[in-house]
Amino acid sequence: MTSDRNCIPPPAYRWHRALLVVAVLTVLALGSWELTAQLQPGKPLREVVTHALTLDPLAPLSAVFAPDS
Amino acid sequence: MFFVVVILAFLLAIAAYTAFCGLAVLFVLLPGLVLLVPLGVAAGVALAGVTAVATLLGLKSWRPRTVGPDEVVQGTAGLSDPRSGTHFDRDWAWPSYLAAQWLVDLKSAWSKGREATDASWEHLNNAVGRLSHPGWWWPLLAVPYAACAALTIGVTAAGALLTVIHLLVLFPIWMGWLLLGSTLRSVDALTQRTRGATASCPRCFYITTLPSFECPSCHRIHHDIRPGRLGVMWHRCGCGWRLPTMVVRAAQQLPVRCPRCESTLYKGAAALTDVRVPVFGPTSAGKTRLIAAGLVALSATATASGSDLSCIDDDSQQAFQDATELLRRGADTARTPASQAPPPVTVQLTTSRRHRAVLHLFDASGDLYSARESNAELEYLDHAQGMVLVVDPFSLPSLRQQSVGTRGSLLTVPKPVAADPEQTYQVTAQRLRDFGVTTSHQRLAIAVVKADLLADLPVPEDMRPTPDNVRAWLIDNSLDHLVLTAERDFSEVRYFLVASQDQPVADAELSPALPFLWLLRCSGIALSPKHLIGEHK
Repeated sequence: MTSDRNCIPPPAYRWHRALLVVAVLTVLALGSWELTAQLQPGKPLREVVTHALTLDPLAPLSAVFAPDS
Repeated sequence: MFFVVVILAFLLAIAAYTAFCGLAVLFVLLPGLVLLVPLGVAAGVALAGVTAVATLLGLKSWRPRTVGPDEVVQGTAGLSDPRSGTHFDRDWAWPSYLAAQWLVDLKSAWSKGREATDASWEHLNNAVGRLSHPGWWWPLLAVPYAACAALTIGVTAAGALLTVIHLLVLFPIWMGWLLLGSTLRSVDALTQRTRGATASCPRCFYITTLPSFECPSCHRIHHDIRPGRLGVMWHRCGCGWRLPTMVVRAAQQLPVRCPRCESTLYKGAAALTDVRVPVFGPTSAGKTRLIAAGLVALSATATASGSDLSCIDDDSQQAFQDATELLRRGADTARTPASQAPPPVTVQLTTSRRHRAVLHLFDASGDLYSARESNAELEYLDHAQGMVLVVDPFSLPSLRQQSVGTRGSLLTVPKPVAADPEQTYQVTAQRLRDFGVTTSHQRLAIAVVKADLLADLPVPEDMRPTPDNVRAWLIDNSLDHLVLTAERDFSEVRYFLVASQDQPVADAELSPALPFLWLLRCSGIALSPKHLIGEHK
């Protein structure tokens, strides 16, 4: 009864995983970008860490949905 | 003197060790902490990210366990038990990613990250364990321990962040999935309820709104095709075949099976209006003849009204052909064997408004209706929307007396029936009550047959065959108790005078199709004008 196709997950598995990979890579890339921008010669590391902890992850969404005014 | 030297040496050693510790803290520990802790955290974040991506991509050593159809059947997929409508285990099908696999992927990514940090701690502990007095080296050993701790913190923090991202990405998909799934289930149930659609098995007489479906590829039976954890729009069979969800969709595309005996049901079962009509009465009353003539007349009526009648299986097709031939030749109907309840004659009706319905006509030997003990197996009686009681007028003593001396009486009066219709009715009604059937929700058509033979008698000459006249005639001929009891038991009783002959549609007043047309109309299938079946225009 079990055929070779039994071992192959349906395409929906791949689509969901691809979406998650894109989301993870996007967050990692944005985080690296932000970190690189903050890491400047002579800037205390404490300030970088403090800045990172005060980042609002929903800021891009807030900017998109904010009223024009 | 020796004692003083020892004390001085001891103090010198302490001073030297303190100096070593101070120098190590100053030049190794502090720079190491400043450098390695951020690097460790960054490495932990990177490790968590790489692990998550590698797990989701299914790379070789990161590939998570796949939740497949076998796990679903065995109950190890993490799905909840089926709750309503079915008593079977879950079907051999792939679960939706949103139902099980997402959690396995997430747990797998976490465990891979933890394995990496555990390995780093293990290596460090092994290396430190090889030192003779590791405690003495604490200013130096604190650096790798701090780096390992930073790595663990980085992996944990990034893992938590990625879990939140995972959930944030999946949450709107879950919402859509739940909304679509519940909507489709509601549409499915509502469509079935509106149409009066059920699946009825011709073998075991089981009635259900949730039939089983056979995979066209591997022939595996799927017992619950409704949208759910195995898929919203489609179920993917374990063999890979894509099955449409919703009963009303699947019934049009997949082979339908009875969930109780796994007999093959007609295409469209549980998606089309299903009307079940048992025809009962005493032996030789004319039940089989009424069904045969009624089928032929129904076909003619359907054609005349722009509708269509077609047989749904080979047995029914054969029965229809036999009925047509029988009526054409004017031959007598063979007696129905009393061994068991035969399968119904099933026809599909498509009205001019494209409303499709399936009509099952159940015929069984009158012997099975003669005693309470013999009708226990007639399960189809319990699920009928309406029933037809066949009354042979020549079984009534008063009519037989009136026929004596009438023109042609010896030739036209058929052989009398064995039992009177009231006894058959009482036995059948008792059976329904014993099995908990609410007859007050059912309709009963009482069909007085052999109207063509009554034409030679004086009784019905001035009687038009309207329901009221037939009712009055039955009361006048000693069946008043039957009439009163039937009207008390059933929600509605209607009376018909029919001639089970092959007659043109124009002669519809005595058409053998009338009882069936009335019951069909009560189920929402209108094939004929209202006035023909005794309703007002």
